[in-house]
Amino acid sequence: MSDTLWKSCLSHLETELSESDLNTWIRPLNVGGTPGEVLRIYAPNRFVMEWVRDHYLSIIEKTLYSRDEQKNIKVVLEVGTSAPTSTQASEHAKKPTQTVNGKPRPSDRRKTSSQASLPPVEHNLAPNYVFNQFVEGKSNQLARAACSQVAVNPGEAYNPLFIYGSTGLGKTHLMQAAGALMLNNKPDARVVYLHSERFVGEMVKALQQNNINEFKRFYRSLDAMLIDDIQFIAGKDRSQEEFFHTFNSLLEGQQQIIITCDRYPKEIDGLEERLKSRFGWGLTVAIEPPELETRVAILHSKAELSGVTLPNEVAFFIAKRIRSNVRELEGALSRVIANAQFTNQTITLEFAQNALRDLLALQEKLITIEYIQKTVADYYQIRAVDLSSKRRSRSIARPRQMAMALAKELTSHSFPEIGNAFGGRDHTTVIHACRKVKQLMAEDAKFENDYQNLYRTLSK
Amino acid sequence: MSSQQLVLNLSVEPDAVFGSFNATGNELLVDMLQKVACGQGEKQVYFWTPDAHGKSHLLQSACHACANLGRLPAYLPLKTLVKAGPHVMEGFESASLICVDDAHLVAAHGGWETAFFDLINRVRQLEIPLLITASHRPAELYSLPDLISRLGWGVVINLKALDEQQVRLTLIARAQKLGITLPENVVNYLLVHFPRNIAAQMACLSQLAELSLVEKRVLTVPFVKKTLQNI
Repeated sequence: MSDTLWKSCLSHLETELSESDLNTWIRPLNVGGTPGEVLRIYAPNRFVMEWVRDHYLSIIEKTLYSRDEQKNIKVVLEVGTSAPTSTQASEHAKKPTQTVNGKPRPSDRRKTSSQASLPPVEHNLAPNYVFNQFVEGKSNQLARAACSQVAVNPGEAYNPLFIYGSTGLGKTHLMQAAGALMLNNKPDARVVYLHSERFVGEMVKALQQNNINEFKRFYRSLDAMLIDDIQFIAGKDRSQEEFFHTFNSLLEGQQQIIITCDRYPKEIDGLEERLKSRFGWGLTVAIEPPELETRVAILHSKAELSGVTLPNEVAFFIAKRIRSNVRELEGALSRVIANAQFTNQTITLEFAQNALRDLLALQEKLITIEYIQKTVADYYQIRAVDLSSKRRSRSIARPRQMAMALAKELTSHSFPEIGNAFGGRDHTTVIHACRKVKQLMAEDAKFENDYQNLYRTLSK
Repeated sequence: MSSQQLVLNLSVEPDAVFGSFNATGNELLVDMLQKVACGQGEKQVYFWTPDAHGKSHLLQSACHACANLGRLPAYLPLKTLVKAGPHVMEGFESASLICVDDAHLVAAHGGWETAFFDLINRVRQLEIPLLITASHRPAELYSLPDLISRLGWGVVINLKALDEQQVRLTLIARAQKLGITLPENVVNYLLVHFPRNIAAQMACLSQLAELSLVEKRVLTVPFVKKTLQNI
């Protein structure tokens, strides 16, 4: 009823307002209320609500009251959705969406009687984030194995499981895959995935609406809490306090916690020491940027999901140029596929080169040999000019070899070009440097760590 | 010319529909946007250009096409909304399509970048298509790596400028639609004296069309010269 009323009102407003105003202020509104008595109009946020109140409410009321049967209807404008809830936490609980296999199973031994009566939760898991769509490689195999273990033995294997690595390497995918497997094994498990920003937002809302106890009860009742990008909680003291207690409660109840972060727990600035310490209680695993073979495999896998055959040489071409993260690989592949479908052409190497011309030009522009030299020099606290000098002391030679190897990996310059950029050195010197760096990485963990840090910094 | 006459809105703003956009050079992008507006194809498209080549027009066109199908688009023009603060990005989860216009305006502002990042996470989770315009590529604008990475998730594409001949044809077609005659020498004058991007040229034409209707004058170079100098 409210919907019909609103639709007719909207049709009228379409003749009165500009398209731009309609799309910004009117169409994002939702309605609810009691038929014939109250029309509740929900705005997405306070600013939109105030704007609508000041600029459009009178037009809306005039439109409604122009019909006899709606003369007595009361219009209420507020922030929210068509089914207002006290907190987002209860919104997680409102939809019975945990339907993996759809079979209810006996309550878990860890559940108390009060938990058994809790409504089902909304897990927020993406359907495509499952293990068999995750491409495994050297860079992520440990994290994948840990997630599988946790999914099979939640609350027992590794708790908490802390996964860290740069953005776009598959942390969210693995975490959600673990959640999906838990649900597959136990469809009535109370598994929730959420981003740490959401946790903060819901807590603030709960505090504003005096519903903090409901918020606490909800999160402490979960069988598994998957919280993404925990670094965003840094510097937010009240949220950390609440998260700390939720964390403790879940851990005590042997409920599984999986956390992702862009860095090692001890390196998160603005995070309380007690949280840093607790994050390390279970297992901490890193995800590194995928190596070339894995990037190629990822491209083939994504292409297959889109129903497209990707020639190997095209996959290698894209993977060699986009090294930093999986999202950018996906973006580049989408671009090639969209282009091929639009022009009805077959994907060949030449076609991909053309389709990605501007994207790849940027990559080349961003990572220059000069930039690599400066970054490596800063990292080792030497002068950039020393890298091109004749000096051969180890304190200079090692960074120089590192910079040469990174230049070969991250740019499309040839060995002679790289040698030339390092004080006119011969190409054989660059080849030797690349081999030496590979050898040192295998032998020396600190050197390997230095390489990874520099690689991450440069390919951001 | 009195300013009072200028406030008469004679609806000379171009209709924000795909059909009124000259897609020459941007055929792939326009095809993608048309599909997204209908709930097909890409989940996220980010298109950029530092100049006024019709970014807002395309987003508005996508909203229009989406609304025509009985779905509910949300258009977020950051030029207007930036004064409201980052929380203005919250609560759009019931939209069928979200369009963020001029996203460069919130670059390098910590709270905004986080709110934008959060918006992308939420809409991705709910599978709501997202269209974004900005002045430059993500890596050239933003400081939050998580945001840059998420903006690269979908297609990132440059909106190309129309060449002079295409701008000329677009102006003439628009004038015809407005029911006025645009002589060749007037087009030449506009192209020489005003920025050649399509948005600036269309804005000039809109003003001229409005005044020519009010003053009942045909468009001639002296009239255009006098009118645009006064404005």
